[in-house]
Amino acid sequence: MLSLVLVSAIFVTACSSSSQEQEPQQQPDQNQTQTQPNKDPKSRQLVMLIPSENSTLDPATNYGIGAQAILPWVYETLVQYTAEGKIAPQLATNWSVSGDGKVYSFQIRKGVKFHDGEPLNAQAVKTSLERFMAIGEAASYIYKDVVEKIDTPDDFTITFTLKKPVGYFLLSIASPWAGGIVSPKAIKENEKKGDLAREWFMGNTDGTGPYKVTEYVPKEHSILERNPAWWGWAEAKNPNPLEKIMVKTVTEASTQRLMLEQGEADMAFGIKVQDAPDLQKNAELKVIPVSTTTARILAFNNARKPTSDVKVRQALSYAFPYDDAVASYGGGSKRMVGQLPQGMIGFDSSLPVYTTNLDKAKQLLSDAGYGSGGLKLELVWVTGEEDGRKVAELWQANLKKLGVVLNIKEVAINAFSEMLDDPEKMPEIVAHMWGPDYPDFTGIVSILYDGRQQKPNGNNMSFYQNKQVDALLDKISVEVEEAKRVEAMKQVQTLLLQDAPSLWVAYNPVLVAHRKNVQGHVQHPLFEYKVDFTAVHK
Amino acid sequence: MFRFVARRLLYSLAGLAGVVVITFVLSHVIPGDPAVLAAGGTRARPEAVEAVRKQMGLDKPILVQFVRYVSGLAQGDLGRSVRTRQPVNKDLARYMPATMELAVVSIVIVALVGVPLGVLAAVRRDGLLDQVLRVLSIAAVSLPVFWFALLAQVLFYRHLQWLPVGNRLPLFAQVPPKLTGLYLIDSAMAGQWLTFKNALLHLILPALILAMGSLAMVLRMVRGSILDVMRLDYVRTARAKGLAERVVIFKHVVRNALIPVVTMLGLQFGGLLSGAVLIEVVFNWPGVGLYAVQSVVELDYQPILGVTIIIGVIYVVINLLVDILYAKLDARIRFQ
Repeated sequence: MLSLVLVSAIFVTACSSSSQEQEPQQQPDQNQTQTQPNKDPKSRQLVMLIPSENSTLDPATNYGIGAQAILPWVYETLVQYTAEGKIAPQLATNWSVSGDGKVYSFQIRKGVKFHDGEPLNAQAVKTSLERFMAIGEAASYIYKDVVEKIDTPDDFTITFTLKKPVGYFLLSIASPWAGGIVSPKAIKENEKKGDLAREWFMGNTDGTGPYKVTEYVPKEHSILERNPAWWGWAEAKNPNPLEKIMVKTVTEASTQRLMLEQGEADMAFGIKVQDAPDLQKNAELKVIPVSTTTARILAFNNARKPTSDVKVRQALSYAFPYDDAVASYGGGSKRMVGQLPQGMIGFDSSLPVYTTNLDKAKQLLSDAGYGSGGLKLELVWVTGEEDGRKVAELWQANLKKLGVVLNIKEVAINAFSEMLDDPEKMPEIVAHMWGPDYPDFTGIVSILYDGRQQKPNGNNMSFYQNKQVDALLDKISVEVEEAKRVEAMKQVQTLLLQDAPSLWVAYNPVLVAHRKNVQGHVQHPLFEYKVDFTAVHK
Repeated sequence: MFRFVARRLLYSLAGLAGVVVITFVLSHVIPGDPAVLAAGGTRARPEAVEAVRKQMGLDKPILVQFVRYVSGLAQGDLGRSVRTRQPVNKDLARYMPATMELAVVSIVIVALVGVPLGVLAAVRRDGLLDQVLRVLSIAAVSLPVFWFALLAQVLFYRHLQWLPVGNRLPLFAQVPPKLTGLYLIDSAMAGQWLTFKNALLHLILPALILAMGSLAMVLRMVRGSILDVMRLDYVRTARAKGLAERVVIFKHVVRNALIPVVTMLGLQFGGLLSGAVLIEVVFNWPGVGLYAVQSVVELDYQPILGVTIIIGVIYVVINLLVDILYAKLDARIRFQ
């Protein structure tokens, strides 16, 4: 009995004291346009929830999606890809390209300092990028594959001589995974046994960005504090810049929603898209359904029967329930047209798309010799992708009408990645997602459909091979004239539609929601977790 | 007793060694390449995967990896996680205290609430209280724990606003100076009573939900055990001697009836440690359960082994302590 009383007492005390712990934050008038600095100290703090963890802070090795939320504000690159979809100066103020497209020359911004006080110069940029390439992980291929040498003709000029012309070089080096510039002093002081200070950079930061990480708990949260010495504050014109930002990993969507609704969090990036209608009724929240550039693709096994037959692939493409699938994904999900997202150079809305047409599918199956049935296929997707499973079941129902048996199987991620390496092991159809590292055709189509990049030597996971496509991809890679690139891109997309090596469904929707008092946020078109903290205020 | 303890430890070490070998072999034969997952998944370039593989020593033959692992183990080194790139020791030191604190508070709730309620249910057998507790116990073990957790969050956080939604402390709160990693103890030792209160507030809901299933089992076991003991001759004799029912129950019955419960509590504690993962996900509790599950999904061998070993050691120690306690409680039991 005494123990019951004790436990109850603890509970009652906790509950009665909870008002202190749960003291509501004083929020500024949400309708008031912020022209004057907000004097409430809590208005200078922001909590952003993401569903992904950051297992390292090192820009040379972090290849996770969570990197978008933190690294761009701590480590800067020479150029940046803005929310308006433009390449803009960052650590480089201007640049030029040689006539043959092989030499890029950048002028480094003067007066910039690392968080440790050391000045930024061309040599510092070179040292940092050489470290990135030497480690060789994450998206280091952006430099490693194309750069022949890096020179620093003077303190504030850096030149990249490329192995061959690269039409997308500027776009690629603006990626959040393109190796933000780290302090050479930090590398030197913290290097252990030739590790290039990898151990240190996992949990510490030293860049030039507007924020620095002052607290990092792996898998839990990072706290960023403002760097008042950042070169860009005057240009940012933020009346009330954030002093402290917590980027917190919360994997459970319902927990994110509760925290946002109660005001414990200011921005949430992991709430289920299906919750959008409910959230929109909340007057304190702004809800932004976003169609990301992460594509949901069904890759066919082009190296093995029956899906090595183009007629079978085309038939399957006509049997797919596109409208139902897009409706099922919900949110801002958009149907794919071609293989590029809208807004990216090369996107062409006039390209034909496959539509659900069971008659056409039937005809094609008959032409392929499966008119009286007998076609059995296996579709594999990764555990946890419930949206994928629902859509697969819709497709299964359509195929059943055509006498095609589609077995749906889910596998864990570790087994999934292994089965992609061998065309004999890979099932007929594999559901996967693909998001580009940088906003160019070569970051999507070339990687996925270059016949010389078949798994395990690359990321062509459909084992597709078309020499005409390969030749066009080579042309797109080296061509610097945009009009010629775009023309070649159109040809490739048309060929791919005819060959149907994959089935392109829709872009993955993400629900972005924030408290209405969070102002200045413009959703990035490419990197959904990249919030411009220099512009956001409360 | 010394010989008993030494023999038990020896058998346990042999058992743990077998577990290590089996876990190592199993984690290497399961399909999948941890280097691919650590390098960024299916989008990682082959050269990036190779760089990770080489950096983590995964390019060595399995036997070499095993020998290296075992020799590291002998020096207390549990290896390095491919996913976090941190030493497993460091990861466990970071995440284990959170799970330990949750499990300890849960087992205290189980003991402090489950035992008295079990006694009451037995003493008022077939009464209203007994019936209600029977239904609640069945519900507690039958219904999914994550469902209870989500319901509790909506009720206590969203509607009543009595308790936090999760995490160990309020956001931006300073953690207490680290002594044990258990915030209740560390904050109390540092005299940080506001932090103590906050840590307790954050613990209540996840600990209660985690405790539910074990509480129900302990309650039913105590009830059953008390009813069994009450049927014994010596209890009838005590009553016949005219002792008050209260004295009969608390002095003569409960003490003997609780002996098997001690064993159960020990095993339940081990179960709470390894079964906390769903609670950790829902309440965003940074514990070892989630760490272990993610390591299994991504085939991160060394954390899988590290967690297996640590949980194994904890089970061994708990079982040993329970056996010693058992002998202390029951004079009929002698160490053999």
